[in-house]
Amino acid sequence: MCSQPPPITFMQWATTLFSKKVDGVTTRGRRRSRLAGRLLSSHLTRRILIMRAWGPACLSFLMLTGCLNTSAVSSFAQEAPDVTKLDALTDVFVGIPAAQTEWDLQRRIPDDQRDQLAQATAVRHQQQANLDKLHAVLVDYMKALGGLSAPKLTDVSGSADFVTGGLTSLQTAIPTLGITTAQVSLVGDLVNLIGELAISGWRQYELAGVIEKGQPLFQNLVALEIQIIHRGIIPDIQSVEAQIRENQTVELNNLSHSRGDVAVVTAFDFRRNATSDLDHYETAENAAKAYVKALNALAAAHTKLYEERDQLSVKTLEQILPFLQQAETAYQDLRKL
Amino acid sequence: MNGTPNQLFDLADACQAEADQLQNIARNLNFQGPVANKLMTNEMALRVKATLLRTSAVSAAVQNSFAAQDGLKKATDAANTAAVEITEAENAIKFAGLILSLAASVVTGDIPSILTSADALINAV
Repeated sequence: MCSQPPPITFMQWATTLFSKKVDGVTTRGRRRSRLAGRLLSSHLTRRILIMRAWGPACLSFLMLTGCLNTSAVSSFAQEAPDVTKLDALTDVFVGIPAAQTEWDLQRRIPDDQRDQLAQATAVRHQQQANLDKLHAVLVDYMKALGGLSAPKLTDVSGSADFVTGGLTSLQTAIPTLGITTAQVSLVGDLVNLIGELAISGWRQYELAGVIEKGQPLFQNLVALEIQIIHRGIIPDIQSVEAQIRENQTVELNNLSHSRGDVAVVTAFDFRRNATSDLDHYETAENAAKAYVKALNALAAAHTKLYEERDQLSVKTLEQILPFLQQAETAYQDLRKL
Repeated sequence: MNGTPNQLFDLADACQAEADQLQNIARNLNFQGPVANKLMTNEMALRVKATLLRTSAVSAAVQNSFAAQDGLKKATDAANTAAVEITEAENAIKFAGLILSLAASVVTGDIPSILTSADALINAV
């Protein structure tokens, strides 16, 4: 009788096996080790196993798990700005020097400046590629946060099924172990509970670290994009708009002194072209302003995530939602471009 | 032209503001006459100058961003690596279950069952 291992010993073995595997993966980094140790130490798992009052224990663990909520980060990631929208703006930026030359109807720009504008176009093409890269860095970062905060990442139920499946096989293969169906189910619940707790805690720790490290860099790069749009693209557009309006007046003054059908047709064509270009630039200007709003909202949302990084919760989501809604509204204006 | 992005943007803004002023004066002259013509020529020169300065400013701003870009790329890599490691930990739980299944099959001595369990384990690794 004494040679037969009691069921509780086997369960301890199974849980220790699971604990060691997870612990082995989690022991990278001192802080992570402490966290994993706290959550997964064999002492803790043994204590859980010998608990008689499973109900209250499970309830308190589930409450703890429930506090960890990364939906704020997932929602933030979903608002990653569309690269193609920035392209529409940088296309306008690249086209400004050529537009200035094109709208110089009275040939006021001297030849050397015309050459400089042509060179500026080439430089701006290169800048567009660099801005795309900069933008991609921001978007990749937001998407990586989304991947790390995805709900399915900490769902261990599928993996826990393999453990209960294995135990059920053992239950049938070695009846002398004395494993009961209730115990198999209990271990399954335990694997789910500890797995989810450990992995949620681990994920929370990693997210906090990434957000902490990313905060100054994200703010820096967003501020840079805002600076380029606010102080580069928008004034450029406004300058060309002013140039077109001036030309509209001057050319129409000149045409009004001409007579005949040809003059009327020319005046009509000119007015149509000028209006079309002005509409295009006004739309671009509004889109650029909307984009600055969206970027400001994202920067504010990231700052909120940074402030709450150690205690991400449903409350965090409530706090950043207004910023994300601002960004979404701004994107709708941007889509008009 | 060299300078910090802010200095270059400030210069560009100043040129554009002056260009707008000249345009306003020319507008008051109904954009007609030799004075208005001279004003508009100067206005255009200032507009072009502003465009060129903004081109330089954007180059300087992008240049200044490379360190921050590298830093944020590292943060992105850290997030992606953590997601992979978490997935590996979940696989470890699955692995533990498959070991139990294989152990059970070995005990029963049922060859097809052993092969199936072993295959499942090998595929999971």
